[in-house]
Amino acid sequence: MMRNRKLTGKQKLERKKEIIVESLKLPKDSVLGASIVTVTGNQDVFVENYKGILEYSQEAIVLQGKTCQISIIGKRMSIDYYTNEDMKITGCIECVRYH
Amino acid sequence: MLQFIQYLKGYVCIRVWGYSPERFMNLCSNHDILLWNIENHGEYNTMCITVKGFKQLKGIVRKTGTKVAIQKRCGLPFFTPRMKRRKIFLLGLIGSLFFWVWMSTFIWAVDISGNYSISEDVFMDFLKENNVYVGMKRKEVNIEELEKKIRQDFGIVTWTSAKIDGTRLEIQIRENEVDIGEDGGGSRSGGETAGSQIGGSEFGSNLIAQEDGIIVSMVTRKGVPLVNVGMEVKKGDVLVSGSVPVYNEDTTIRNYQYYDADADVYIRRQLKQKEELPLTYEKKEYTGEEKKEVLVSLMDKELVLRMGKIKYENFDKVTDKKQIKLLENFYLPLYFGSSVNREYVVTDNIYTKEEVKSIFSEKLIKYMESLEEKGVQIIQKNVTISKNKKNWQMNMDFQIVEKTGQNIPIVPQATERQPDGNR
Repeated sequence: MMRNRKLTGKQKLERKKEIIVESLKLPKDSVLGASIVTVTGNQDVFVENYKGILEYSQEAIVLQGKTCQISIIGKRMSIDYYTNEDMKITGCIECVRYH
Repeated sequence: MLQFIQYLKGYVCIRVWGYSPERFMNLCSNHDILLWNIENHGEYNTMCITVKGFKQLKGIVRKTGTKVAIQKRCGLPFFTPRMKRRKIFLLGLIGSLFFWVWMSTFIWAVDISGNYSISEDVFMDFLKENNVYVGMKRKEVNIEELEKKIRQDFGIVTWTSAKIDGTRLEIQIRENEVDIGEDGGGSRSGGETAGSQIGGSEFGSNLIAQEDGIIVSMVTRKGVPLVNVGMEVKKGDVLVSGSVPVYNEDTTIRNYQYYDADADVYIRRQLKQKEELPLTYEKKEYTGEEKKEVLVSLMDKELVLRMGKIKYENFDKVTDKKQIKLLENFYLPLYFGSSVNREYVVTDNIYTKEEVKSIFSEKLIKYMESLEEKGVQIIQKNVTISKNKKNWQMNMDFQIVEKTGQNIPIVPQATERQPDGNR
């Protein structure tokens, strides 16, 4: 029960945060820690605001964002560069999924 | 640009395999180690990493339980030690660099532009006399001195500009067009220069006739005219006297005042000219046989590459030579080119009447043009072409009107000179 209440409290906080950010028109990526995924055509993906890589293969790359996981699925994928802030993935992109 | 910086700093391509390469990458990014070109090959991953980053990998590798092996070292920091071992190559590289720098301190070509009446050969000889030649040190060229010297030695040159462009000395000149006219200007300008030279003379000057003829018109500006229109004059006769008498009231001469006589005097006279042409002439006829050769020359030495010998008795050689240059302006003392030797046979031909006529009429037109350039008016002309045993002859009789008059300084006679005169 305690745990549930805590969770709802945390959720409430999140909700409040969102409302404030919305009303103040602050950038969501820096305040809420939302990831930015830029897909150019179906070949380049440019990702910012993430925590790390969970899985890496030619067919699927799973990234841990600050709020959710992002999986990029495609063929013959490789990472062009990888730093703390951003990364670039090239290959034949088929799907980008959040979960 | 980024790739160039990476090359300068140096990087390594590594192969990573083991328990969790993903965690390896995450840790790298957390430690601010840049990774790029990450490729998954199933069992292992390959990636590029900076040299600085590679040195920090030890702890990460231990933590993640992966293994790392270097596949390739790239960049300048790896290249230079390799070069150190190849000493002779390096020596050659540096040597050639010095060679080019050294070569660029010489003048390897001299260009002249803007010269019409001064031929290039004459100019080159002049430059040689003044110690400007192909192969000299660039530093030794004193441009201002050279420009000054050109203007001094060639009176016709009114403007000069010399500059060194790479290894080429560029000289631009401009010639005085009026001066060119003076050579062909004949009596008129000659008279003017004579007059101006005499201008300072104490007793002035007389104007005398330069040719025999009949005066057709005369305008006197200064001096006492001694001849009239229609009079016949001989060469050397005084046309206008520069000594002007001043009379007393009783019409006796008190004294003389001296001037430089100045007048436009036109005389009509005969002008005879003769042109000759031999009966036969030699004509070159090319047989169509030719032999090509290639030549390479360095400074004065020439190397000719040819197949076999030239067996022709008479031949013309046409050479096309080019100077080798680096980029736009770096001329080298190296020439290459090709030449063609064409065989010809000399045949004796006899001029036909038509040929003679056309040659003579061409000469006549040229001669008349040269006369007109001098300001001579042709009133009548009578041209005959005749043939004798030895040659063809063209006799040209012209009646011309031309300006005459030359200033000659007056030599005062004792009687003319008065003790209180010349004021």
